[in-house]
Amino acid sequence: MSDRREPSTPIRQAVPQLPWRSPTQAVALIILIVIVAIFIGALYLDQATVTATTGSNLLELQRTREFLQRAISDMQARIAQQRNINNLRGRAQQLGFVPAAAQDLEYIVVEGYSPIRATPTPLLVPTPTLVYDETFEGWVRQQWDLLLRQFEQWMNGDSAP
Amino acid sequence: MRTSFNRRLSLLTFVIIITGVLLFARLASFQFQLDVAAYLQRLASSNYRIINDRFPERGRIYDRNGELLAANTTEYRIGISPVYISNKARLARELAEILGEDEERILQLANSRAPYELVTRQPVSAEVAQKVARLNSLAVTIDPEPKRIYPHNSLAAHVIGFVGWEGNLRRGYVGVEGGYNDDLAGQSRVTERSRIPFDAILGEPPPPGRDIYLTIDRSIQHLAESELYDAINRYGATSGTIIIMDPRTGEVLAMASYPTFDPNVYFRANQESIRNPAISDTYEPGSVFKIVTAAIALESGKVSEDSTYYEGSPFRVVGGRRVYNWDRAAHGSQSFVDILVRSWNLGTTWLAVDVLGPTEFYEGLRRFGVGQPTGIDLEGEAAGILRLPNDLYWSDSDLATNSFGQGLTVTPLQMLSFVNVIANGGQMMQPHVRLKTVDGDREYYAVPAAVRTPISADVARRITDIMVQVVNIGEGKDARVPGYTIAGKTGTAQIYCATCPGLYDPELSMATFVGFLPADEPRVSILIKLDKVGRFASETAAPAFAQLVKRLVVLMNIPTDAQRAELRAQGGDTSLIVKR
Repeated sequence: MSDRREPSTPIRQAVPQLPWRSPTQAVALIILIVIVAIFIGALYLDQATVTATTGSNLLELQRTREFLQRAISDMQARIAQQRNINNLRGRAQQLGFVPAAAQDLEYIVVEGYSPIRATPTPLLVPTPTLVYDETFEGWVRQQWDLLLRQFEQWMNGDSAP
Repeated sequence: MRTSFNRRLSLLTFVIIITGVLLFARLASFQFQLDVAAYLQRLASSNYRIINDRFPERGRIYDRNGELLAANTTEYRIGISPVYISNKARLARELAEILGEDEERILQLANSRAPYELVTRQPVSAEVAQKVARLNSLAVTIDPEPKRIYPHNSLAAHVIGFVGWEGNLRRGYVGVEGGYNDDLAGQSRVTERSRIPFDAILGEPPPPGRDIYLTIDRSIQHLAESELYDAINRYGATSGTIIIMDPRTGEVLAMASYPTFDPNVYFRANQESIRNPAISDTYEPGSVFKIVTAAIALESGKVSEDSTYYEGSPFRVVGGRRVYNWDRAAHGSQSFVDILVRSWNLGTTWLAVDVLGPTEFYEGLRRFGVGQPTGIDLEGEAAGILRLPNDLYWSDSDLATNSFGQGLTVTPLQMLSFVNVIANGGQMMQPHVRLKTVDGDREYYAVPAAVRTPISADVARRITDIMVQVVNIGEGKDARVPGYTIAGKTGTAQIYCATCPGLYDPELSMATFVGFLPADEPRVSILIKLDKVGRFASETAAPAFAQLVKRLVVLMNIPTDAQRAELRAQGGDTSLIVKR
């Protein structure tokens, strides 16, 4: 005991003397680690759950979309079957309609009437890519030509462009 | 002791921290898609993803007014996975009740050791499949199966075709289904599917096949089919064809043939009825072909309407073969107009042999496209047969018989295309059945195209005038329709005898009538062909034509001559009248 060094402050002196210090530190550290692990695990689980739920929803939406597409196709086919000419004719006869003759039709002139006719699809013209290919020599020549034109116009008495 | 404990505690702490860091990194990889994660995902996906081809929905077929002619629907195959069934007896009872199947058989399937058993022998409807789905059983699988249906059954079956199987793949056969199979079928796309529950792999399904709008008008098609059926029954024909076209554009408005088939149950039809006779069957056209000979003769400039020839004998020998008129009589001096109006075989023989000669005559036929397919956009078109002077089996007599439509063969469509040349001022338009193709929000129209100009507009007009006389005062009198000026021509062609090989049948013939109206402003051209009838075309095909036209002019909004004159007087343009 005689070789023990003297603590520099009273607190430093007191702390090492507490008998419960080491176990408490260890437990606190473990608890902290467990809490962090639980936190990370919870985050992971949450992320996984969200992913799975979203996946499930997407699958359900995909199934719904496919089902609706099939239902639309089925419905279109049924409508077409109902619009079968034999059905329409039978229904028309039930309602008292009779076939028209050529003399029953009346034609009138409509000013400016233009029937919708098949028009060819316009050819797609690719948009030209602009490339800068002007050279210094070309630029000088262009300026010189412009100057000459202006001079000639001035000599001829024309107004400037 | 304490030192040892501290050391172990430090180690544990280190391990937990490392684990935490790894978990955190994994979490971050979800969020930020690190390359490592992507790599690992790719590596893993090879184990838990199924890659297969996904086929798009087949494009639909519509008529020119947007009425659906070929549609898609879905049927369902019901299967079970026995290993997942908890109460087999109950499931068997419920499925048997819904599907109308034998409960014992389903129970046997449920007790099998196979991973999957198909319960239904035939696919079931959506309603039945929905009832099965309401069982909410994990063991029951409901697999959709696309099905092609034709809402109007046999209507325009030869034009539309049908969808059958080629191995495990569906494919269109004959007609538009066959001719435009690539457009309708679309492109398959490689898709991925996960084995992991709730793992959704986002991927767009393949775009559907292109929709095709036909030039066919279903009302006109229905009219053509019903009139054809009536005519066949009325005149005792075995079969027949009606084609209705717009000569100005080459659009086929209706193409009806009998016997026909129902593409919904194509597998029950015999092969003969599936073939489209309008484009695939060739026949000797007979006297309707005289129009072509007369047009070539007029175009040559060597004859005119006033030209005459003399029939001193009821027959003429050409190349060792006797050629007779249809009445087997001689009629003395006859004019060029009489050749068509009275349908004299000796008259066209005079034109081909004495006026034109083989070179000019066959050159004219070549310009018309005789012996060549029209190029219509349907599968299975025949070219017809035309023997030329240099051919092995050509003889001098062919020059005479060809002039009145014997000894050569054409398809009904070819014959109508020749008439369209007259109706369209000398130009032959490309016959076609596709009006437009719709690919998503883009529409591609078929542009009417002229393919031949065998005669001048002037000759076309002069032949039209003679064809009007054929209907008004000639052999086509029964084709007249009050109020309309019709240009037409009859044709009664001999057919080979089934019981007397090498000879023509003394009783039966092919009766054809071709015509267009209004003669001065043609909007529609029609061919009616009745097979194996015992009477002349003037008594069969011509009245059938009139019967058809009476109803067709209403469907197509074609005014009478008087109405057109009145509209023109009011400043109207009658060429703009279209069916709405």
